[in-house]
Amino acid sequence: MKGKRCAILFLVFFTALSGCSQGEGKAVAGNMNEAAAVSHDDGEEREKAEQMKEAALSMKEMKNVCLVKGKKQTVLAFQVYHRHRFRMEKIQKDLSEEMKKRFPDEKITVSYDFKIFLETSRLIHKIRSGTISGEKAEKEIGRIVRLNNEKT
Amino acid sequence: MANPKKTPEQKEYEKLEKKHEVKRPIWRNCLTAFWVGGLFCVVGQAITYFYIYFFNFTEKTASNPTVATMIFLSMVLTGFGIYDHIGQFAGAGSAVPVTGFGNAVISAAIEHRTEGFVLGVGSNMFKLAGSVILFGVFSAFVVSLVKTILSYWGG
Repeated sequence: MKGKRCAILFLVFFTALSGCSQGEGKAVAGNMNEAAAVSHDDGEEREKAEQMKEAALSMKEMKNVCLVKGKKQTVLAFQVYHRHRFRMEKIQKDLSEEMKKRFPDEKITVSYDFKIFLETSRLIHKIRSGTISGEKAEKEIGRIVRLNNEKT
Repeated sequence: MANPKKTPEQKEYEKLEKKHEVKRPIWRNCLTAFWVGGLFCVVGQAITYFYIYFFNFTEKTASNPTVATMIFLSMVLTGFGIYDHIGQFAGAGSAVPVTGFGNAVISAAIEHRTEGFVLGVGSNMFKLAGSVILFGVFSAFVVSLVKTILSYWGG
């Protein structure tokens, strides 16, 4: 009887926890492979952001890519196919080198971290919907880069 | 010193003992430990995602509050006497994950509560968990030392 009660408690706890992330997860799944430039009206900037995204997607391991191009720096967050997850550090290094080679003038922060992917995706939506100003978007990019560099 | 030669009576008794001995279901225990331990990991993963979604934690940094939360949950469950049942059911599946650490701390504290707060709880709380902390810290030190030396020489 007590065992059953424990099992039910565990199940309720687990269901409650997994329910927390349901809505957000769906939102992120819908934001696959997107690129945006902070100066959204500038066609050239947008075109360059698209080129960077395509360059990242040319790697066979890539599943999703989210990219935001600012005036000073760019954030590129990616997700790989599950079978490549053990090599994510190596893929990140390779992609970083590839981006440096293709776009030597750009300062690009490459990250496989899910939080960075999530934040970048949110920022893209804000830029596209026009709910964030260019200056604030630049600051947001800076915050994402700092978040990525945090060790503890 | 143990006598290597057994008397016929002793041998007979051993046979009788084996006949009546309840056999441990090793494979079933392993399987139970595996899936319960796995379930703990699923809960841990859900907590990690919770911290990533709702707080400013990255995949790298979210592991710290996740571990703390898992230990806290196991401590609460031990306090309410629920973890004992999970432990009896799952065996190593409940002891090996980090939740086993919280269980070891609190169960020792509860056991020695009657001896007073200082000499009872204070002295005996880390009776079991103390060795985990000691060898955990020491092995982390050795590993970091080896890594530092290798990265210094290896470039």
